[in-house]
Amino acid sequence: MNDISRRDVFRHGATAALIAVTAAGFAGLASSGAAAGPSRVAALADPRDFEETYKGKKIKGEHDKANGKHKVHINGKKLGVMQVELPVAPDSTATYTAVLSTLNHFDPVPLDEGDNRDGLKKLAKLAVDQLGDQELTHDADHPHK
Amino acid sequence: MGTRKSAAALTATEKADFVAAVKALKAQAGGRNYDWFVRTHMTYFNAVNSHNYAHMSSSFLPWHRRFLLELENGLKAINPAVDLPYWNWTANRSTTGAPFTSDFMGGNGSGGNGAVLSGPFAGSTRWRINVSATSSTSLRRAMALRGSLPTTSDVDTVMGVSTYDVSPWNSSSSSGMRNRAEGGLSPNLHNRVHVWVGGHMAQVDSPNDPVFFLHHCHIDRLWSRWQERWGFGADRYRPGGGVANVVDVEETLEPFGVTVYSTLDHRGSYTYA
Repeated sequence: MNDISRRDVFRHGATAALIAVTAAGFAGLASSGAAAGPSRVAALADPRDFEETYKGKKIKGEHDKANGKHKVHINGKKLGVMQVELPVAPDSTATYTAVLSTLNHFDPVPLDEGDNRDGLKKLAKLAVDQLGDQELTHDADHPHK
Repeated sequence: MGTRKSAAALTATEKADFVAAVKALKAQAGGRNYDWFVRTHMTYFNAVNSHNYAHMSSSFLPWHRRFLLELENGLKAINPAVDLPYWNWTANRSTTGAPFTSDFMGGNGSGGNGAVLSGPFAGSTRWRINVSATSSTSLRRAMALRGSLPTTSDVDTVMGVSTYDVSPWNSSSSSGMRNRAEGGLSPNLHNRVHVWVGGHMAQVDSPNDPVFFLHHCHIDRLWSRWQERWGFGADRYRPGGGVANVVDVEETLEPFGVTVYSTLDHRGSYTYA
């Protein structure tokens, strides 16, 4: 199995597992009679989302699976994040998804729902490493399209 | 017409003149001063008017060629003897050698990702960072912590690719010279050097580090070498026309107001030594 097909297997396998877990979640809500509201919103959150402290800085990440407009905050300040598609190899039509930020602008981090499911967190940690004793400015929230 | 030389070949006077002109452009009030170049690079990292002019697109090379020429013209307005030098990172690979000497670009950052301690751009009193994604007002570098410098073999690989670019003309283009040079595709000549220098060079505001212009000058030199081998004509640029949201050869490069075509043959403006 080459890298491309292995990556696809992981990606599709993880997607199938996520669909199964989500479906089970919906079934559980229906059977328990849970009402729509904050608890339902929480149930719909991407399981890859995170909020933790890394090297003394609070990092928070929210995935946007549908549109690729992911959000990362460091100590409450927004980090500009951009999702890109890159070729897996020269002359291959297969691509993989990666994320980069205003602080790691030339160093894409792979992101998927398989082996690279923690890509957004890796990006946030890379940004913290880059920051060191600094903080983000308002220019870190540079709009990405 | 100017001649762009390797930073390693500059005389002491040429280095001093370049540094003085860069600092004078920084000190200029308003207009296309040095911080205008930083802000413009930040703005054009992303799509503007639905076009990716500067990055992850076919126009990566012509946009930066014009960006460099605008800066060089700004420096020449201060001192007509100044030409942009280039950093040949296949030959000059040390963190302490050219161009990172105390009489030119200065050295590494302290403690891995700290402020540059030596040279004319060390410390916020000598070179203040005004526009940045991070809060430091001093120039920072973190050389050789991440990334790597391209080799001569890497350059030869890219120079041997005869097609300029291929559809879909962005970061996912799986062939062509442009994406191999820019970095979406191996061997990646451009992106990895930004990462290798680190600090401000790794960020969206990378022109805050004057070595940005020496790095991109070498990228432009390599494109010029590719053109010498494969042709300077409009027929060598791709896409040729009619592709929505991609800067075709006859389209205007913003914010400069010139076409891609006008940038292709630079030999009337400058050459490389």
